[in-house]
Amino acid sequence: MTKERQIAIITSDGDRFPVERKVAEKSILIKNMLKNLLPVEGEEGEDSESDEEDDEPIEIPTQNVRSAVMKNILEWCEHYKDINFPDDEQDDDSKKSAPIDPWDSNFLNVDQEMLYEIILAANYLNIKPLLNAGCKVVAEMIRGKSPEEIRKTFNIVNDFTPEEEAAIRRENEWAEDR
Amino acid sequence: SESATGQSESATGQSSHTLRQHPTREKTISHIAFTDLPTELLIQIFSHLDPASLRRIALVCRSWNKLASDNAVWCQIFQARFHRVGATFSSLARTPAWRTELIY
Repeated sequence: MTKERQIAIITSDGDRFPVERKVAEKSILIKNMLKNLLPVEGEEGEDSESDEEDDEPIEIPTQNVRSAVMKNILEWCEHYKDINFPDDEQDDDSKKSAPIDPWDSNFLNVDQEMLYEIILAANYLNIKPLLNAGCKVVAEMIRGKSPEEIRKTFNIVNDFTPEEEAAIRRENEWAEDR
Repeated sequence: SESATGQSESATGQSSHTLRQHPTREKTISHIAFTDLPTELLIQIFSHLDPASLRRIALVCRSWNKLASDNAVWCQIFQARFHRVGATFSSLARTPAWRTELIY
């Protein structure tokens, strides 16, 4: 029996994170990469190239994710490593209306910048359940706020001219909460 | 269709005051802001909102206003919400009425 080949993820800033395969495979991007590089044990068929250096760890560069973010991402992957997400490969629209998982909610209780970076990384690495949770957290930050409160929360500049704003406000008058 | 908002409008998520601390040794510091998120992710975020919040985002800034009036966005939000658009809303599928349908 061949022992499992080691996997290491290399971040954009050059840090190296050795990971278990099933942890790494929470990322569908990485899972697909590994599918090509490392056939799953038992499906090895002709063992065609297995005599090349199997001891050398496979290194996966992730040029868009820095170390501090990857650390968080891997914490999430580790937590869920034994959970099989049913629609790993598909949009899990059915999960849209489900409330955010308490563990995820606590996990994503980070500063805004880190939250956006986790969302961007989850999108890049194709980790749908994490992306979905991140989007929900941000949506909760928008929900029920006035436009001005939203601007303040997200540091968005109001770039409407007063005339434009008045016009849109008029247009949306019926939408204002009473 | 307006009854389908699903989630409670109660207290907004700002309740927990202490952020989870990460022992980070910040090698590289990035300054990612909300406005750096690509449109596709904004759409995903907006798709979790209720119609009332969705209407308010049009008043935030120009780019959100543009997004909020983009038919494709509403189509996606609509699909995410009632995920069998083709069958159930076939009459809508070819009209520019996504936004109208969702709001009214």
